[in-house]
Amino acid sequence: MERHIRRALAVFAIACAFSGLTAQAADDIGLSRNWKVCATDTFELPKDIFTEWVPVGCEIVDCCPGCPGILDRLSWRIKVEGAPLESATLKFSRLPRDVAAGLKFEGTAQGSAENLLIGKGEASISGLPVELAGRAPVAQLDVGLDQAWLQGQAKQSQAFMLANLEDAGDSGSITIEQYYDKYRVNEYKIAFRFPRCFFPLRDRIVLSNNASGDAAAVLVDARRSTGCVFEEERRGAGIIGMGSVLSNGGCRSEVAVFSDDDAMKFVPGVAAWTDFLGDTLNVNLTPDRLMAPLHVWLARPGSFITALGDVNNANLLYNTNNSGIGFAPVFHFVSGNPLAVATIGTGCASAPAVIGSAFFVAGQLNAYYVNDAFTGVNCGVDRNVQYVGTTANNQTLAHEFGHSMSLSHTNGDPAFPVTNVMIGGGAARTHFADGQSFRMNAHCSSTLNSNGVRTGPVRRCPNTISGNVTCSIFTDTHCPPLAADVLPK
Amino acid sequence: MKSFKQMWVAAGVALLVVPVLSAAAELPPEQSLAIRQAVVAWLECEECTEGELEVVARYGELAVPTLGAALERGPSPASLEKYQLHLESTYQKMVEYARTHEEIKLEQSQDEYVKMYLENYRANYAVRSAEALRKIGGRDASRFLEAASKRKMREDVDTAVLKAARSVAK
Repeated sequence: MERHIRRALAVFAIACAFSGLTAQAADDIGLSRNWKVCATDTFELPKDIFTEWVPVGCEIVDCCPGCPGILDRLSWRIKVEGAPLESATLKFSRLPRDVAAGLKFEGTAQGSAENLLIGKGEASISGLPVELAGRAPVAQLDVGLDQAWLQGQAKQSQAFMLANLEDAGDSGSITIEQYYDKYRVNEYKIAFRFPRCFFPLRDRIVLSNNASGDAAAVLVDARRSTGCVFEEERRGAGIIGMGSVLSNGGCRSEVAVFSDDDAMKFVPGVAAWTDFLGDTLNVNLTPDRLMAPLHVWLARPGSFITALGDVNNANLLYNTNNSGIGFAPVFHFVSGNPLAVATIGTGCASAPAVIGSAFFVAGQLNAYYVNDAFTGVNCGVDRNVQYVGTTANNQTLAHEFGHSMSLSHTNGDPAFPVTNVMIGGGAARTHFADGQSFRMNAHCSSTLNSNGVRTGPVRRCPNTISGNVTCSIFTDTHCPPLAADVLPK
Repeated sequence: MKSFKQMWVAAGVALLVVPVLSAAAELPPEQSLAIRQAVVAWLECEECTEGELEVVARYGELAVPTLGAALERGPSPASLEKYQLHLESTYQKMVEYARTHEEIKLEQSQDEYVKMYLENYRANYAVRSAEALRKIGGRDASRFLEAASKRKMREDVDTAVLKAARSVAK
């Protein structure tokens, strides 16, 4: 009894303490995915942009703290919104036959568990299991675009060909909320933005030596008839139409190009634009990626395979997100060396001693795999130092390298989906924004610059982590927004 | 036999206590959601520099059952599935990528790769929930930690749980 009363009082006290905090409203659900797609490209996009997998079940193992009754069944509330989206199709797998047969559908849902079409608007599914033995059931979510909208885009493209400006375009989203009774127990949201990116080949940027031939992302500052423009986003493998760009006048004119297998190309002070049509800015994407030397110190026995997996994923993530950065590892097997293990320690408290020891290579990245139960940390005393613990996930090392190259966390910034590598948590992070890639390359205290891996113009960008290298106060502070081109691929 | 006055006092206390108890048994959905989000933020944070543990600790006893369940059972099946799908997808991308990029060296099968990181994920949940239970303290938190310290888990998890169990304020 005493315990229940204490608990009840705790409810009251907590309610008071958190009276200013209310639970997230449904429209505040963080984005699981956030795609930007040029409307004209929608026919050629890889399938994974429009296919997702949503597991059935609660986010946390006891489902909903303090909810009453016996947890038996969940319901899904689904919303399909926005002009470009026509429908969503759900195909459930691993649902027992009797459970699948017993599902009830309402609203815009039609079909069966094997193939359920959700029309625009709201729908619900009830009778889903809370938990089953083995892997959780999962729904394959396929997004259907509105055909009438697509045809409208084709017509409008002609009108936009005459203009120079990118249109904000239409957007759409799909939200799936999982409920036990009135308790929300899990959520998922995918958003699409479809800007109209039609630019005639009047003035142009011509890319050469595009190593992978990918659709490079280009951020442009320049002057147009409407005035100065900043961070216009373009994309192309070779010749990129710019519409009409005018001579610089009083405007800043620069270009940053991000491409797989190529180093970021930053061209400040562009002088190619005139007030006449037919201007060309040539951008040579040589050199290929900048490979940062990396020393991996394996102070924990048996950590090589983990470290190799982590470095592999870091290379995959950085290159396939156009950052132009790679990591060339050298592995040091020191777990049998007591002096090394003692000097390296298990975290940043040991970093000052490590930096003065033989177990550190100055001016290069160093990652220490140690025997302590934590995920990872990058050390402020020297951003070249990162520790990885025994409970790291496959993105931890890539995340710490982001700190090393000046990036801070993106927690709480609604522009970033939970898949951003620099979210300070989560286990399925896959993307960098071009605004982040710019900072990793061009911010003055990024280890890429302080270590001399990159030489070239630098900036002192806002929204960066403090580093052990102090940027000159005279360094230009103009940088693209952190969330510029938030999902470049 | 109880006096008439005692019976009235007992009835009065019951009237006061029953609503309090029912409030204790059932949290409002908004508060349940807030606790879930706070606990997940702590269990999944990387460096945990945004005060994640402090937010969980402010919920005190209300967060203990959820933390105890996470310590005992790990991530939910849906969260495990989400991570497993991510790991399988990442491995497949690495296989494809390795065909054109020699710096990628795959020395594990997909099953080994997925298993290794899933074990770390489970271990992280156990270590973090133990740490939060230690921070909150109290009889229930101690019980969860004591029970967990008797189970055989991974060495790093055992060490962390034992440390939490020994230092928790009862």
